[in-house]
Amino acid sequence: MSWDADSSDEELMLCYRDGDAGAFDALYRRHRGGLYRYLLRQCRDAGVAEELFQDVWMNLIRARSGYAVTAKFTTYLYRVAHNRLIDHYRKHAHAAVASFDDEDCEELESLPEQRERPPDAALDAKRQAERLLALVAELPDAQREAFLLQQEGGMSVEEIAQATGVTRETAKSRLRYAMAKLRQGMGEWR
Amino acid sequence: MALKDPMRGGGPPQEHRDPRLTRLYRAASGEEPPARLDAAILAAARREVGSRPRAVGSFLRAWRMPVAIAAVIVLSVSLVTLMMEEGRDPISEAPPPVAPPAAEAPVPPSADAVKELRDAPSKERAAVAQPPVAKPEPAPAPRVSVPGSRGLESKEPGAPAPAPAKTAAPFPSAAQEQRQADDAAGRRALPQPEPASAPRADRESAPPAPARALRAPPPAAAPAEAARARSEAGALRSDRPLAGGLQKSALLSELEREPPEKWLERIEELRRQGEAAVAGEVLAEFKRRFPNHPLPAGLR
Repeated sequence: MSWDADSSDEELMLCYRDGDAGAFDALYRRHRGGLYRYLLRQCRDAGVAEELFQDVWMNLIRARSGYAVTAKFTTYLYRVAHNRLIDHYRKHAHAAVASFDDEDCEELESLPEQRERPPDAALDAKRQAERLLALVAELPDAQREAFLLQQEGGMSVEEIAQATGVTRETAKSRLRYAMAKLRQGMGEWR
Repeated sequence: MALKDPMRGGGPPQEHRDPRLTRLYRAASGEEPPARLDAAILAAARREVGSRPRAVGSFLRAWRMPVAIAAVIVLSVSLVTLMMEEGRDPISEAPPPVAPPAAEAPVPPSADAVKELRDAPSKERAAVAQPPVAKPEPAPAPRVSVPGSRGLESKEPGAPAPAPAKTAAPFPSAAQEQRQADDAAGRRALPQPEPASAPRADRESAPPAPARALRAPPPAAAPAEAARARSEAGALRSDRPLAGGLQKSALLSELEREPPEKWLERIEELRRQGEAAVAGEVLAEFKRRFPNHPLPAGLR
């Protein structure tokens, strides 16, 4: 089986399963940034993120011989990452576990507190980006995860549900609240 | 607080996205894993499959198909060329079907001749026991097939003689092949005679077979079976007058490609015409050619 730059993730993984290390290189370069940022924003520690990042890829490498296309590769990859993250939370008694277990559809009144309107209306894009990242960091873990899976993994609601092991409605609710909070937080700068 | 939910009601993934947020997020998020981590993971991946870097793999992948196609083409062309050469040889390189070697003429009675004597009616025994007429019988051109001639010429002198079935076959009909097979079976049952073409003195002091074959020149070393077949064919086709003014060769030529039923009809017809002797000879020939064919009650 051969592959090229246009090959799908699943084809690349199948090639790697069949012994083509070059296919893994291409696959890794496609997803390294998104997966790393997903882990970094979820655990908020670069060192831990690197450790988890390496664990996820090593799990993938070790499981290559048994790989079969049962879902989109990104769903598979981020599900591995999600599980590894949950393990990390449990190991370190992270409060996020409760956040993942509960339905966190709190009222939108509990949104992050309103920021002061910046003095300069022509705030540059960099400061807007910084503001957005701050808002993302303040999101509940489950909502933030849904948002990051959409942004970094390019996943749909159904794929987010598969990757995080929840129903489609739960995933949709988390994503909806996350987007609403971010829009509300950034709205004053629109 | 009422929330205006743009995603309410579901829909395609695009409806769950906010382009402005996406644009802002992409501008803000540019973190990448450190290079050492990349190297460690890629090295682990290569170790896992035990393969080399992509440069070599891609080179092999790129050339695998062209090399395979070229190999298939070369093999196919070689095979076709060989097959064409093999198929052309018997036609283009075969010697003329006539002109049997001079040593063929004085063929002493062979085991086949003895067998023929046993099978043939007494009237014909004398003719068969005589050395065949030296006059060579030109075989019909379309029927001549000498598949083993090239092998005879190109073989080393010490090479064993080919099987009788592969030597000159002036009558390549199914009946003739059947007869030759029967003859071969009969020869196997009888004590094996010496080759008919070998002189008696030579036979008496004959060394083992390979040495004897080395002594004989290649053209004269034509297998005794081929000579026997030719002499037999000559005997059958000779225009010896038969009883009743009929010629056996003419009859045999007429019946040669006919089915057994036609033979039987002809025999009956001869009997009705009072040609009992000829009918008997033809019947004897019929029994030789079709030993397993049932005979009508009147002919048994």
